[in-house]
Amino acid sequence: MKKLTIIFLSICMVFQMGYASGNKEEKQAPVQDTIKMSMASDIDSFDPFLSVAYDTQAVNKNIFEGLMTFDENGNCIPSLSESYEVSEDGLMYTFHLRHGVTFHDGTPFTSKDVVYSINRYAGLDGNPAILDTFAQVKAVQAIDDYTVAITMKAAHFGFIYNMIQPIVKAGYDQNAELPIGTGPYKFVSYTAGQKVVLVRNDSYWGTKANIKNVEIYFINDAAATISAMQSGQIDFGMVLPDLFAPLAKNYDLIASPMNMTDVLALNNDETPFDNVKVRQAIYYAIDRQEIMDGAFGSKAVPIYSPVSSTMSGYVNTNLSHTYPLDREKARTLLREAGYPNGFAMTITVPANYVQHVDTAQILVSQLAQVGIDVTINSVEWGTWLEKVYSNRNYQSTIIGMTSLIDPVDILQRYTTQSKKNFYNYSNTAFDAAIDEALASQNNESVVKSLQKAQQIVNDDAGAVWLCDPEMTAAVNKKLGGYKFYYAGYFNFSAMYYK
Amino acid sequence: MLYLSRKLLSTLITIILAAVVTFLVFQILPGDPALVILGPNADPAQIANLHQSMNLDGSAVSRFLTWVSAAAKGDFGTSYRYGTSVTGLINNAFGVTLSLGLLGLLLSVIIGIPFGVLLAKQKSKGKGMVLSFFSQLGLSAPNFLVGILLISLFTVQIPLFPSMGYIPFSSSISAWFASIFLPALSLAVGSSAVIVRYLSTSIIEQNEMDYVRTIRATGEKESLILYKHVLRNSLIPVITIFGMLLSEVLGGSIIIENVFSLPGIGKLLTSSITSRDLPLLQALVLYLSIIVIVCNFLVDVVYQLLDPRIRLE
Repeated sequence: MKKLTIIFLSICMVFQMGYASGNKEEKQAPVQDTIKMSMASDIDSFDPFLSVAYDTQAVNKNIFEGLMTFDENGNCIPSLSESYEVSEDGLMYTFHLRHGVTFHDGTPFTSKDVVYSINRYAGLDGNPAILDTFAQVKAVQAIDDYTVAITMKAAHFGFIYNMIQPIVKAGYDQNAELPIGTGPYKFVSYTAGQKVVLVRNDSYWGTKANIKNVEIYFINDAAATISAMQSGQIDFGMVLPDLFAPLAKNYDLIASPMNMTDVLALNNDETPFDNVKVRQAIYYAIDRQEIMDGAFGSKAVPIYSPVSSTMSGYVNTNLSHTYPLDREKARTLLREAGYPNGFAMTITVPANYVQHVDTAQILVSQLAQVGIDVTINSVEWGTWLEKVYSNRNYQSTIIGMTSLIDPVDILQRYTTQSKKNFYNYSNTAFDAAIDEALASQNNESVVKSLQKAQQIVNDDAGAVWLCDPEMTAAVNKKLGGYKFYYAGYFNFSAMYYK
Repeated sequence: MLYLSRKLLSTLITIILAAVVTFLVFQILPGDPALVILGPNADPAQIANLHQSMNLDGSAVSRFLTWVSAAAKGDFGTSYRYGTSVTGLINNAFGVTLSLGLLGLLLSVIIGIPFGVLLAKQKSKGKGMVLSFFSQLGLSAPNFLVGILLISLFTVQIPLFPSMGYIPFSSSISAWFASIFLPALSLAVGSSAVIVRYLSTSIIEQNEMDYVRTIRATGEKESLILYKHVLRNSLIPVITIFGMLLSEVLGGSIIIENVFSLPGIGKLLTSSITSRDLPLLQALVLYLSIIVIVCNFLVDVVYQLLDPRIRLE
């Protein structure tokens, strides 16, 4: 027995030494030429035509670039195109492409790559369209090697944001296995379910990245992520704020609102939510601060319209005073609507989103105070998507909608015709305001129309907008330059070791 | 011959039934695979394109028959979620699960058998409370808890092993062992406790038997009685358990794989269900049924070797 134990332990020692000696530096301090990041979900596809996952695109933006990109304030800035002009009537965009850019395999970047990519997105090459947002594109034409003209079917203010989409090498269809882009990092390898490895593009046209290697590991267990950071295997990644404590010695917790809007959706087609007074009553009955403290550890920013407060140019700041917590008012409105004794309602929540389940539980107690009896129906994610989102078969639900940089996108979901309008909200004045915004030629009139639209949907209490939760990242203290963006983007090239 | 052909037939029927039931459940289960993959922020064109590539038209019966005819040729199709061949995904995951399972079971045998014998010895003298207590602890401790404790001890406090990721045997043997040791140990804690209890009970039972009394009467040394005669016979119920444990670990230890971020069968199984990845799930169900059947068969064979009185009737 003893002999066995001794033999067993010595075998362990031998193997352990082999591993530990080779990796001692890794545990002491981060290796200076590599960033190791953790991600909760796996890559869905490296091919920009196939990928949709938020996290994948956050990584892919290092490999691929579009004609435009965005900065950390949400502004659309030039990338592969140096400048562009829009015609008076908004129907033609002319892009002047950057010279001297090459793809990772050495092929020069020219207008034919732009034409190829946009034709694919818009479905102009015979294949089905990849993105409906390109539906207004009539044609794409290369004027010369470095000039591209895009003709539109109708003027659309938000179109320029579509130019953030990655430009792919013309005719190259192996991006799912070996992605080739123009970005600051090149693809090295991908092991499904395990990790992605990237290396710096030394022929990059812009400011070269500081750190040579990037390794992204997929760890979907929150506790395992923390342990990996504690043992020095991971340099940064998203963590939940209440799990951060053991990392405080070597890591900083950086938080920023993520331009996501958490909303209590009230199905405008179902009783009693087809009555605007009932919706407004619920608005008066909720205490946003309590929800933010209880479900988000106070790491959230309140919102009063579908547009998050982070979209500072577009959000209608007058709306923050519209429905203060006022339980008396709520009860009065309910009486007026014909519900003097309140009523019963069901909130369907997707069980995998802890914050939404927590929010629902807080709402139960808040709404009970005005006589509304809430039942929580917790369902699995796939079921939620089909029942609530697709079939709109629900009474009320809580969900977070991620926003893009395009300010019109999130508001468009409330238009009568939108396929994404699972709120079933309908108001012709609102639809008109959105159309106005789309047809606008200058930023000022867009802002005016969008703010008008927000006012309308807020007056109608189309939904109850709760907050924009903060995204929290634990970053090794030796790592600097981590920036938050309002759309998915892990900017590795901006990071450096102090 | 008749036995073998009957066994083969019942195996085939079991597998077909498993495939049919899985398929049927998926038809009833709400959840559009395209929507699950793309999420509520997806562009409607993307959803339409994905629907088309999934071939979701056609009646349930015709789709099932198409799958069966392809499967019979070994083609299990393309995963909805990963877009790559299903067989490729399962092969990669299988390597991980096999390493984890085999090392875990090896460890549980190394730990379980000696302690099982020790417990039997102590119990026959009226002692053994401490060991019994620990085996009870091993049985009841959830394996994810053991996993997290081990990570905390051997990765954070004493940096000995990595806490995540898997390095294949082919890359580096020492790195492979380091990446799989803690997970295998977490598995072994529970399984060895089972072996300890079964073995100790079995040995005590065997010790009561007539043939042991006879051997003892001939003046044989106690240790020789134990190791030459009793142990062999006591192992029989342990083999049954071992067979069950083997099919369990080869089916993918979902929780351990999750805690240690090992890309094994367990992870593949859970992700195929949540993403409604029917081709992958059907192939996995097939794989699991075959594993269970093969393990049971192996157990039968080992029985025969251990005890000539048991014949495959």
